[in-house]
Amino acid sequence: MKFVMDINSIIDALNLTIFSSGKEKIVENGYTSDLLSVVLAKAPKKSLWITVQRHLNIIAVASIRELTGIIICNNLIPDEEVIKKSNEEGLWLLGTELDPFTISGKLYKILKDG
Amino acid sequence: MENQPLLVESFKIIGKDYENGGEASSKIKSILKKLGIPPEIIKKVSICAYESEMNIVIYAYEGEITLFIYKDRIKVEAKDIGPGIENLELAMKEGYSTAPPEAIELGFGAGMGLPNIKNNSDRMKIDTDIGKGTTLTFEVDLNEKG
Repeated sequence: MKFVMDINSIIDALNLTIFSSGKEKIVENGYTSDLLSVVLAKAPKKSLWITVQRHLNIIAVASIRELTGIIICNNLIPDEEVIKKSNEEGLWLLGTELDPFTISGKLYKILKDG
Repeated sequence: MENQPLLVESFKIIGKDYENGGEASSKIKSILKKLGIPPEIIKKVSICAYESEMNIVIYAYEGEITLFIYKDRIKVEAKDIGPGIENLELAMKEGYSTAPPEAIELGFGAGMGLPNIKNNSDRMKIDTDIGKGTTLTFEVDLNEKG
């Protein structure tokens, strides 16, 4: 399934924190996993990746997979270096206080309902 | 007889350096971008290069990744000094992993690394020597396949 939604309406609707603003404005899908190789193998292009990982390697994975951005859950804050790299790669690095299950459900719902 | 590569570039990889892991693949990606290689090819090479690089970081002591660009294909050789792969057949199986706990915690060790390389390359070859190291080579063809 593929959806189309503007990243800014998603940020507003889900009340996400912005750590870095990306270049791509379109979100077509979502993918939830904490295993980097699984994301590298399966995440659809222009998705928002929902995870509790917040180290430097998530940026490389998201960039290779051409994702729109990453949502880091559970109020976890990425390091400055990770934010810097995300900026360089033109990715949206976002945060939420919600857990992966809840934010995935909410994102799925707004993508599905438009 | 193999024709001469148009470009050769090597990158050193340090074992357990999770922080900088991915840097070499990132550089390979930008070299390919600058050369105007089609995005789909770049994606395939980047996925394979990243998995090869992280395998060295997770399992080996040190290694080197070399990018060879030929007229008709891209070849990457990931050579490490490390423990070698004890059971290649198992290592190729999706979901099988021998990654240490510190790697698992960071989200590595899904048991998808080698299968990911196999699925995204046109040819893959592994030479492993227990107690000495492993050399993994993969190639992605540059011809248009749509």
